[in-house]
Amino acid sequence: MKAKDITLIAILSASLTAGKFVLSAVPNVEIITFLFIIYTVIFGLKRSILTSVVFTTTEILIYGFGTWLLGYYILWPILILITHVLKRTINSEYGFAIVAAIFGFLFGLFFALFESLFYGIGYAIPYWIRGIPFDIIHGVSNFIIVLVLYKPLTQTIQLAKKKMHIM
Amino acid sequence: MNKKILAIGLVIILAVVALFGYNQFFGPKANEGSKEVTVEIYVESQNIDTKYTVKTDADFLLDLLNELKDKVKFESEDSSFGPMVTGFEGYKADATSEYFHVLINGEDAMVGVKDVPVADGDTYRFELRSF
Repeated sequence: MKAKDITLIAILSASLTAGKFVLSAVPNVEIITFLFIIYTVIFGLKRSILTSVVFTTTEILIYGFGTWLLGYYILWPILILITHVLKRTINSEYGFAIVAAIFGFLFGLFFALFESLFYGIGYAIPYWIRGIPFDIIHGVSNFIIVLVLYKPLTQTIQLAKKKMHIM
Repeated sequence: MNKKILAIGLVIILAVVALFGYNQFFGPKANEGSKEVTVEIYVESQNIDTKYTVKTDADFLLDLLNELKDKVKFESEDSSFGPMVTGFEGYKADATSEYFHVLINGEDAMVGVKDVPVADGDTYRFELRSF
């Protein structure tokens, strides 16, 4: 791991935290999923997973410890892994938009199952069902964000990547 | 770009349909069908202590009271918390010191009459209390 990578991971995780703050007023509209997909495509698996670890740890430092924050240590790497596996087969923003949409729809279900590890399965079902409208908003907003922003941001980041001489 | 707008529009339509479906299946519901319930009204100072056993299809207690309006002479006022019961049997509570306490099967109601679901066999008691 080179110093350049460490710096890159710091910048990427800072951009995620900033992106989260900007949209935190709008429930379930976020650009984290979108940014993780782009980072995985451009910077690769290892750096993205390390970025997600730094990002989640920052979340805990900001919001305090909660069981749901632990879930993010698993959830974001899952998204990164999925993107990494699919990036050879997907070659348009439509594919990633669908991935992001499905990810958004299943977000609540994942957390319901994860939290049920702590509170029992009886907690999971109402938690999930009550959250379905928010999952729908999450999936739809993810779809739109990825579809609209994928191409322009990829081009910009590729340019920056070249300028910074990152492999 | 047009293709993208089409895709986005399609997804939004699907989402609206999904949200509508969700509300159909999981929205708050009350029991339906013919239910037999008892309504009791108690105002000590006026010697009012009446009891009505009625069959109803009302979903919520407020609907039931409106159904029985002629019988129980029910009056209500809208407040910022929803409709508030103010009078029965021609007696109107003095809003500065009295109110109608709502009991469901002998237990204090946790929500207003608009949100109390009517269930078969329940007893709804309105007791004038002072504060």
